[in-house]
Amino acid sequence: MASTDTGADFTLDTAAELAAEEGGRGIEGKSPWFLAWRRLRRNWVGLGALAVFLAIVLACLLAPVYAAHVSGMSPNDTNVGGTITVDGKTVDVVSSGGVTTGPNGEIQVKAGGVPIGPQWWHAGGQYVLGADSLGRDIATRILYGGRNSLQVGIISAVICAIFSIMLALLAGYFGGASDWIISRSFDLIWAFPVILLGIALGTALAVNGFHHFGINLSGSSLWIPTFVISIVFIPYLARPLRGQILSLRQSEFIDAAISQGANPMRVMFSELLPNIASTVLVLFTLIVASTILTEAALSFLGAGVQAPNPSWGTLIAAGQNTIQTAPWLGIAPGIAIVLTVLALNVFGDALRDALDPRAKVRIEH
Amino acid sequence: MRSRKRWSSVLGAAAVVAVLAVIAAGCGSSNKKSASSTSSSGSNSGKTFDTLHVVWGDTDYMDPGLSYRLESWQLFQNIYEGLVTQKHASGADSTTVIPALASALPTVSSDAKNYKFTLRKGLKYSNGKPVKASDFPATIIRDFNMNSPGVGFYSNIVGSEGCEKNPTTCKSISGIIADDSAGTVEIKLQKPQSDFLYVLSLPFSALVPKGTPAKPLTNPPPPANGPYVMTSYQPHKSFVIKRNPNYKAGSIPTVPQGNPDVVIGTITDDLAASAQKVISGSADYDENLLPTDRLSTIQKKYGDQVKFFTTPSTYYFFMNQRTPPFDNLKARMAVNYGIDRDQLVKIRGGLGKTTQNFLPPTYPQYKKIDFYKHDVAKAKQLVQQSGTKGMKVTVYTIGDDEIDKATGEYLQGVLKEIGWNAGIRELAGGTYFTVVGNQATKAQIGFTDWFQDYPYPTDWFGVLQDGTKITETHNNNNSNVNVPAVNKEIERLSHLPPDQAKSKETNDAWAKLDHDLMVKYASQVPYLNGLLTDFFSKRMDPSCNVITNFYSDFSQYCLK
Amino acid sequence: MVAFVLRRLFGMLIVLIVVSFIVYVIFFKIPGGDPAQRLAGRTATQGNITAIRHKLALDKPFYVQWGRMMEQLATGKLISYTDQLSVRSQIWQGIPVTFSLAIGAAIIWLFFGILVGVISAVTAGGVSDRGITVLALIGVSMPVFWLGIILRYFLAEQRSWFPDGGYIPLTTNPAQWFYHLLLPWFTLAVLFIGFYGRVLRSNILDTINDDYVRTARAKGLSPRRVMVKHVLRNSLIPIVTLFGLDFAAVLGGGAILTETVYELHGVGFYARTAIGNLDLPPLMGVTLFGAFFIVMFSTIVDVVYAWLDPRIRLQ
Repeated sequence: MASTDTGADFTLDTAAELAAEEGGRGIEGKSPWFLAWRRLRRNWVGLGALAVFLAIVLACLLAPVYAAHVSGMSPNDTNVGGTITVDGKTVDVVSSGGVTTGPNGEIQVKAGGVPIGPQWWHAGGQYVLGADSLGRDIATRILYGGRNSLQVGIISAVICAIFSIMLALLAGYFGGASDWIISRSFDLIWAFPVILLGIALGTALAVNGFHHFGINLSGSSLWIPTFVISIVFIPYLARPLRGQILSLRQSEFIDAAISQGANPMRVMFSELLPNIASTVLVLFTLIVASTILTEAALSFLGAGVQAPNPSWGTLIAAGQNTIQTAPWLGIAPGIAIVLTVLALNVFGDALRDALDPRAKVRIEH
Repeated sequence: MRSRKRWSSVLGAAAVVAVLAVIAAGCGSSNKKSASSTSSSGSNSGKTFDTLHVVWGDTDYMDPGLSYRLESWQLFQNIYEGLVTQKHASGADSTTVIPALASALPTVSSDAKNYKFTLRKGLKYSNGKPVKASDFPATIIRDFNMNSPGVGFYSNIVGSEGCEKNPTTCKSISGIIADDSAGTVEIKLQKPQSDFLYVLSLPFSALVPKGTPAKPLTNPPPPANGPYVMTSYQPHKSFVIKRNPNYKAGSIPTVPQGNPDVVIGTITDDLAASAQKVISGSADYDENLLPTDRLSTIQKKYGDQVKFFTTPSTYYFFMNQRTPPFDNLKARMAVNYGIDRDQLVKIRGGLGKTTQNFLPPTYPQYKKIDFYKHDVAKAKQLVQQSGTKGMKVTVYTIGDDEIDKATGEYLQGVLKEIGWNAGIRELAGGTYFTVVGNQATKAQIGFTDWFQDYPYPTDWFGVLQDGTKITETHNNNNSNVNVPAVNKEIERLSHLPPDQAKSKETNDAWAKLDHDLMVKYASQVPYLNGLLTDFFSKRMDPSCNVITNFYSDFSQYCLK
Repeated sequence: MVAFVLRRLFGMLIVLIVVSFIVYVIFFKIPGGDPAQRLAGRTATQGNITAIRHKLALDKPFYVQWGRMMEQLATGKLISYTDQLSVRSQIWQGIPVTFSLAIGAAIIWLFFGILVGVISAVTAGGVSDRGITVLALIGVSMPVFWLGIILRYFLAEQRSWFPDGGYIPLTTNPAQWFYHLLLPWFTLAVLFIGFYGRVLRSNILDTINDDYVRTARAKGLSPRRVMVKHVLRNSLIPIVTLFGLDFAAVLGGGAILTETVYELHGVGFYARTAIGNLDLPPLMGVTLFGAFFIVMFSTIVDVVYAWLDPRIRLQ
């Protein structure tokens, strides 16, 4: 049993302890990956978190399939003048106001423009989470917004990972000049205040799009925030990998491979890459969590996903202005973000625990 | 000028001649609707008190030669006076031009091209220097040297061509003759100008001492000649206004003496925090618009402390006639039928009155147009008939202002509904007008608005719908309206002698122009005139709130 | 040693120069960003615009313009395209606000982060550990700006427990200064407390198993002494590195979100406004300001490490 009491005696034998954990089953001949998988499998909280994350991703990705049917609206349909029937009563989706002239020429204003709140299921699926100031269905927009946010977040993390791995391999394996150039570029990106770099690039590219080197992206293309965010996170992933590769480079089996005349590509991909895989995996979940949060921040500031595409960040920004009369507009998308990122973080923890045999303490389940 | 919540100096067309007719001693004529409070300037004087705390919206400059924001102009009305000013009264009276630094309205020659003013004697600036006649040409030249947004107003003055070509280096304008010993200023115009006196009442024309450096003066701003002086200004943060020590009480009898001794202003664009300051009592007056989502709660609780007033403004969508689909009349009419103006008022939180006119309803030249009913079916039909159905249309709007953003998104929805493939492009307020004002952008349709600079139609049609004023960059005629007959009529009506500038025939002619442009040519899509709010603290008496053409006049506030 | 420091300082300078060049290139050719048109104003003639372009040297090649901008920045003459105010003075005015926010939050997150990390490590596996882990995970998963909006809404607008945004200078009223910063501090710190707590916890638990700790135990040192003298000290070293970099990042621009939400007119807020206006001079100023801190703290950390560990110096 994993020890959780620091006052207890330390055990010195890793293998014996692992064996004890595995309920006495032998661990000889099993690859570390299999062992990791076995440990992960028993971490119900971690797996549960993964399930939650996948459920959210699925719900958002499939939004075009079902959302319109439930709410009766697509995400960009405005409905300022509309009404709905709630428990038999007809209610304005957005309250009316008006200007009248009083008895002595005074201007009298009845303030309007307040959208309807969450109806849950009282209106038959319409406005489950309420409406925004243009009468759009919030629940639908959160789903579609999630689609964009997750798309940007996950893809940018993947792109970042690919670039980071390649750059780290090149820098770590070849060393010398290539290492110097690559490390200095990391330093450069690192030196840029992250948010400012993201905002600067995001804003500049959003204005007119990117039309160079044969690529044609309009300012509202989702690829722009995707690339901006992936660039920003490269040092966070590439540096630790580079460090690991540098030390692996010194190890005997690599030396052996090289002295046998193996070509660099083979060494990099067949020998080095598998050894950094677990680091990549663990860091990857962290990076995805970060990219999702960064996308929200950039979109909140107007430098990420551009209108008309909804994103969780832009929804929060819109909600900020109606926080008094319609607080759910700003609160709901944030909860969606927290749930998603939390699920990722919990799973990431579980993954780290599973892959890292040195971590002695695990929450027993 | 453009609406209030805009960053940076406003962009403009290379509007050459802001040719306008002369307003003579004619008072503001038949004005139907009055603005909110009705007390006129006289009855509030004498109710002095020591300190007035205000919260104010952010502005561009506090230098009258450069500022083109209503936030600054609202303060300038008591600090910087010109040869003439507009009466510090509300309603119809507010459009009356009265002498300020000049002792009387000018003598105008019979051909209406020559104006002669005599300065009052003994006037001084806040720095002790006497107000001299030569300060007037110096002020105008300083405006040119600083590339002020207001220089276009002076292009009808004889000899201004040199300054227009080389503004940074020009030194004189031959058409302005100032005689310091006699205290007279004579201005020669190239053509009669229907609104010249109004131009002279703008802050750009307010006198500053000769020799004031030709660069934006921030802290402190240029010396004042009115009853008050701004003694300090921290941009984006705060300002302090005190009584002008060198202003002798009553030396400009047409301007209120002023009730508060000191005005301490905090600057913020956070509407909620701004309102909160008044609610908590740390400020007496909130110049900012009340946040629309809290409007009804604040109204319920603080009822009579909240004052609404109509602004002489029109919010409209421009439609670029140089590019399809809006080069087609039917397409333009379709938009006018497709939008629901009431819904646009809702988006503004109820703070607007629907309109189909280009001119605001307070103008004597206004004749109500009631032509377009909200009719989506008809709009769809028109789109079909125009042959542009399915075309890609991009709506432009301002992205960092929630209401403008929502308005643009609403329009996008409508355009989609009536048959176009509508997209949207949201830009930051600071750059919006540069981008849509650039012909190269080819913006098809988008959000825009206009707040009067002064109450005469030349400021509307001449600037925004005159085909001869279209420019390649920072164009104000965003729709590129260019109807020769209209251009000619605008030209004619802008160059009338004083006695004709506000005659019934002239007013009718302007009204007809309004009607033709909106109905016959469907050149724009006007939808509402804006309302704004004034919010007073408990200790202030809201009935002392006088709304002049530069909005609420702080010098007339009084305590309960 | 001296050579090492000099080398690093030189590297710092190079980085800053390259950063400024990149910022310039990013914003150089953006439509709507033409400063001459924006400064010229509404009724400008072509003469106005040409005059302004010449005055701002906008008709010169872009590397000349960049050089000019750098020179203006160094001499404090750089002005914003929007309101023609000196960039240096605006940043200078924003510094007290941003520093107040960053330093206060940093103290809070460091203190609580360490506290939380130690407690959860010591009670590892127990209820408090799990509770703390859950809270920490939630803290790390929240968007900072959303948390700010929520806290401001519930605690400062619905109820008046806290002031509704805004900044009171320390010199004006220290009590109010403190009161106004409480919510922003907490908002900014929550994320880091969670993160640091977890990092420290895992460092402590790793260190506990290291050989030299076992040796110390074997030598008979009490658990507490082992804990404090060896474990804690060694676990804290990575924290210190992290802290240096995070603090620099907050100063450099990380505060932009908190400042925006709470209407604190600091350097981050200034950056936000400048970006909205595509106003290059302030943006350049703020970016270099931020980059400077990041690079400076990195260098300090490196130098301290080199001083502690001679092997690194020789690389």
